[in-house]
Amino acid sequence: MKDQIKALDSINLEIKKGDFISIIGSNGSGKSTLAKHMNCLLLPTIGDIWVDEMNTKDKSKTWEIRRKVGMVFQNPDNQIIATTVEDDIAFGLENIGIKTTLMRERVDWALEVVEMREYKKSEPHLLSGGQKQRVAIAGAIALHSSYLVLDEPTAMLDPRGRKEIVDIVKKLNLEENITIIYITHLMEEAVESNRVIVLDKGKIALIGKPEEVFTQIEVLKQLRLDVPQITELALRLNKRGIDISPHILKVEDMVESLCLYI
Amino acid sequence: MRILRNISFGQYIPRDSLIHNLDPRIKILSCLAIIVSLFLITKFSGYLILGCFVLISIIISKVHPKFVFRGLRPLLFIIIFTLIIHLFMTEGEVIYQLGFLKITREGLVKGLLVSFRLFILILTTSLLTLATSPISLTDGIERLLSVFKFIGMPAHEIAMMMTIALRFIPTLLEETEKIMKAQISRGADFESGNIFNRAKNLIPILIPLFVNAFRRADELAIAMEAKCYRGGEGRTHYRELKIKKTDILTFVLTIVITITVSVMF
Amino acid sequence: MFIHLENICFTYSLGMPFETEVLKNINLEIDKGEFIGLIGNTGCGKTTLIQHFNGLLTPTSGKICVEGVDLNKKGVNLRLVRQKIGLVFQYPENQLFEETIYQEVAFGPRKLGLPEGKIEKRVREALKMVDLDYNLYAERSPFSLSGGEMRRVALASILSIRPKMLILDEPTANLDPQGRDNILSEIEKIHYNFGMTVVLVSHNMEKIAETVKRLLVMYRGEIIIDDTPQEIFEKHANDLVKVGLGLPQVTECMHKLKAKGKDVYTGVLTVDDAEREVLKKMKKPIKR
Repeated sequence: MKDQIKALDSINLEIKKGDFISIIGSNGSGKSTLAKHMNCLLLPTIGDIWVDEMNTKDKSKTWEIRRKVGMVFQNPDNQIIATTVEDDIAFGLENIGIKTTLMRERVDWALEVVEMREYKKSEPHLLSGGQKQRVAIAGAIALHSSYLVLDEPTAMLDPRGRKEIVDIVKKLNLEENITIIYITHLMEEAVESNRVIVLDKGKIALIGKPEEVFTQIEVLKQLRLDVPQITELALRLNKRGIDISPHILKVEDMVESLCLYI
Repeated sequence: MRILRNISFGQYIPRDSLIHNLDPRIKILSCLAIIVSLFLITKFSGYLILGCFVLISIIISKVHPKFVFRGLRPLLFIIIFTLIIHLFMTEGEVIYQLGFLKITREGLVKGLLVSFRLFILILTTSLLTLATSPISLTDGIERLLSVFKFIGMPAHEIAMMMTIALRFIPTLLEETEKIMKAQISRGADFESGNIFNRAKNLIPILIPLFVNAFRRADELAIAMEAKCYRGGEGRTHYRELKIKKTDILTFVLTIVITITVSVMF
Repeated sequence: MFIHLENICFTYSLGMPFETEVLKNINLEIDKGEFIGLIGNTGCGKTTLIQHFNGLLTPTSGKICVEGVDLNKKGVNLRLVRQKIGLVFQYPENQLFEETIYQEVAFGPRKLGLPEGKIEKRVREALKMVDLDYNLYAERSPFSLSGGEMRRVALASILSIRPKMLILDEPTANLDPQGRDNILSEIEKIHYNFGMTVVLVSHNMEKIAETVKRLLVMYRGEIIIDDTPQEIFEKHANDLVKVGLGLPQVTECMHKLKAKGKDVYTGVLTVDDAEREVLKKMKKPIKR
């Protein structure tokens, strides 16, 4: 190729089991490219990616890695394959050759987890955006994946749909102990994770706990990213000499702090 | 501006009936048997028996005959057209003459036979699609075609294509409507002009539609791969097809009837 | 008065088993030069409503007038109405089809039957309005652009019709914060510099509330609130939460303070507003 573009540039990253990581960055920062490396949809030009001791470059491990790392994409319409909800969730299970009886159990379980049991027989095109994304999540976790990569799953949803997805993802992390890698450009969603990675031009610009990352307002603004309003307010008040922690991320904490002054 | 909503596809009507609960393979094979015998029969009485058989099946299926006969409407023209062609174009004993046009007895008989044939053919296939959900129809086709795998029949691929097509028809219809409205808002006009102009006016709809469809296909392929899709090999089926007693009985009955009418009439 | 809607009702598949009432008795007046936000969750009927404004949909009952002309009267030239009311659909980049950006933007004026010289003038003007350099972009293919740029070309292709009113359905959907801010600031410029009447349709408050001057909240086919953003955040916060729209964080913060018995103004839209309000209401002198 003549024009080679470095979408990712020397990324070093370790994700622990059970973690909830969010990745933010503007369009073209390499978020989706990074996500696609996690289950062999893309292979690195330089460097290695290991999933549970398996190298993604090892061709014999591709399917095992894809089974372990589930993926949910942005457009709900373009990732549902079958004509009913249950058939779509079963799609991945059919691919890895699971027995029919076991398959039925898994489909029911996955539907239960994403709270879509009553839509088992529905046709996907009649569901709301949030419901479609929940079907996509169910299809991924039905494979009993230990990791779930979500690539801007809420970008095309309304606030209600967004909340549905964030709630389900939190539940998967806490109750099912699924490791979450959540890509978004909505800060209020990233705040829910344990660790935030900010990507810029294929490099990790910031990494840390949400309260550490979101207080770097200058850096975030320079990268043309949003800052949670409440954190910005806390920082501004702090700068004015008011004794309010600049690490506030949640409205409740801000209200509590302000109550002492007003 | 809701032209596209009137197109109904996948006309499946869910009911709890003997016909609905039959194995799709049995339904498809029975249909084929009927169709084959339709082309072997040469007498009215044969069509009458077969017609009755299909009509009884319609009644058993609990699908309102209105829906079954609706399938005839778009093809009525073809039936009448063949009838007329046969009426006037067959040589033989003249029974009515109008100027240079003459109707012959042979033409009348042949025309009616062909019309009956088409008529029953359409009724049978409508009943099949009305009483079988698209999913089980695809499943049935896949299993039946996989018999021919040894000569390289891509049974799974064909079934997968059908599934995806069925899944995306509503999405693409919706999208077509949206693009149409968007272009109308930009000043496009789809309602006036001659045929050539009208065809040209479709470009603003067709290009975006194709561009989007290709993008969808691309994303869908990635999503399928992410879900471990690698073709039909080693794949299991969520929907198991099992031949039941009623399936066997129905199939035997159909075969007996079709063979009998084909041989005797 | 520019647009006037009287008792508009709209039902899909009337008389069919899937019959759904999408719009229920909508009454609305929009004046020239207004800057309006139309907010509501997916499925609340906002897209259906705006398609009535330029005659793409005909109401089941009720009356729509654009500049005093009743759209349902026989013989009304809807193409003239569509020239007055520029409707930008959701994901408008999906409707691009021409070989060059010039042709794309020229599509509308060409359909109006303008001479080539005038068309070029309009293309230049429209591209300038969306901040795309004519010399750099005119001959490029629209499909070679980034998502945000494609959206601006699509916007330009409506502006080149020279509408008097601009309606944008989810103009910021699926853009990153930078793309979103860019397109919003362009829309603001178009409103302020050219006096364009603008209706922004969106499912989230994100930035829309601080941009517009009047906010309509739709819920299940009805306009349930019609007021300034400040008034709405101050008085109807509960309703917004109830219909699943949510509040900006700073507004939520003020409401929670108020619930705790603090005397604060709750109609804040931005961090600036909130900061000012907090500093104003501080009891004790600042100390650390």
